[in-house]
Amino acid sequence: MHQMDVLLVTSAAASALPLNPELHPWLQGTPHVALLLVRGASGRYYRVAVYAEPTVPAQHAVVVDGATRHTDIMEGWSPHIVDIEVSLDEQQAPLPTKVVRLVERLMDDRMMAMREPNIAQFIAASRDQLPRIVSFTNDGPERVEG
Amino acid sequence: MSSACLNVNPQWSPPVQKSMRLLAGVIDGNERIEALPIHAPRGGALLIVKGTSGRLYRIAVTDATGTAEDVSIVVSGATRRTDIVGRGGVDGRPVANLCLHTEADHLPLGDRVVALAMSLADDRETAMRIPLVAQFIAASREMLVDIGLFTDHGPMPADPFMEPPFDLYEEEPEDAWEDEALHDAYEQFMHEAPQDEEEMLYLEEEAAQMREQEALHAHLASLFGETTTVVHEVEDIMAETARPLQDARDAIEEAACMMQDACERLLLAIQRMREAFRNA
Repeated sequence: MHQMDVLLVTSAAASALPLNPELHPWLQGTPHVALLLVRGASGRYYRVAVYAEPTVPAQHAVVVDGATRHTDIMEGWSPHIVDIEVSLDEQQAPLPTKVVRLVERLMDDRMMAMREPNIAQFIAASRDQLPRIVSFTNDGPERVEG
Repeated sequence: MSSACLNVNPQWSPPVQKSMRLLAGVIDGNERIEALPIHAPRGGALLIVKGTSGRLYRIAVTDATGTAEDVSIVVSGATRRTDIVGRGGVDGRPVANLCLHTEADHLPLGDRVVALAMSLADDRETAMRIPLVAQFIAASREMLVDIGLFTDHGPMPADPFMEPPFDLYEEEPEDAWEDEALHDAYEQFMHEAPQDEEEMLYLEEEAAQMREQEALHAHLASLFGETTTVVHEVEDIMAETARPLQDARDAIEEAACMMQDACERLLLAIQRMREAFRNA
């Protein structure tokens, strides 16, 4: 992951957040490998978290959250943060390469939205709509029940 | 503009005409929807709808037969009003058509247009159900130049012989935020501004356009004032010039009269000379 961090911090639109539980209390007890903050061309913010699978050695999961404001995305949990379903390109590539490609796509999220409608729906949604939505999936927004 | 711009064909059936009256009521009661004048002898309408995202939509309704049975409803969208008002095609301009069709084709024309217009007026919510609307909202103005149509299968190029427009755009320059002061100002704007970014941009553009118009009006007013002054000066000069002309005309007329008298006297003298010569 070191190579990935070095590459990402060269861009002002994407940065690695320090894995410090004091700064980010929600990290407490979670096996994060990397936590990245990306600002898309649309102005939306994305938090890319890479987790180590504790049960399967050398397996990782990548989770992307989104928000409209910087202050929202920097919180651990907020009703204005939504989960975004994304696919990693190049399944055969090493994990850092996949994550870098994902971050690059998220930086140009308007273009990504032309291929992936759920990204477009996230960009189109207002901040007020986000608390009613759990996640943006490939099948459309998954809304809060009730 | 208001609902008075709707072209309701009197040949349409009563239900269709009634539905158009409903559309007129919706236009008059909704500030996000307005009707523009359209030349449609067989009936039709041209609506401009401003969505909650700040995007603008043009709904062009035209009746090919005059019976309201073969009606085309074309929806196109843009980020700026100037891009979408008063122009027809989409080629080469930041305007794209949206492949939208209502699920209620059995309803009268006006009802269908009302449903469409109301959906587009709340386009952020509509985008959650219709991905192509979301993709239109997500696309930047520059991207719309190369996109001709948003469909259920994704954006299609304006030129059918072009590749899909996904790879035509360069990424945002990475040094765009190297200026820390600019970045801080943007962050402050993003966090303090409660309104949507697109809305703010739209308002800024409108304010800039209004400033330009005011400057143009002021310029025209000053030109008009200068022109009026010049006209008054010309009128004064003409008045001053007219008086000597009248005097000259009077003098010429007087001289002509004097010459006529002289001629008459001369003729009389000649006549007397002839008589004197004859007597002699």
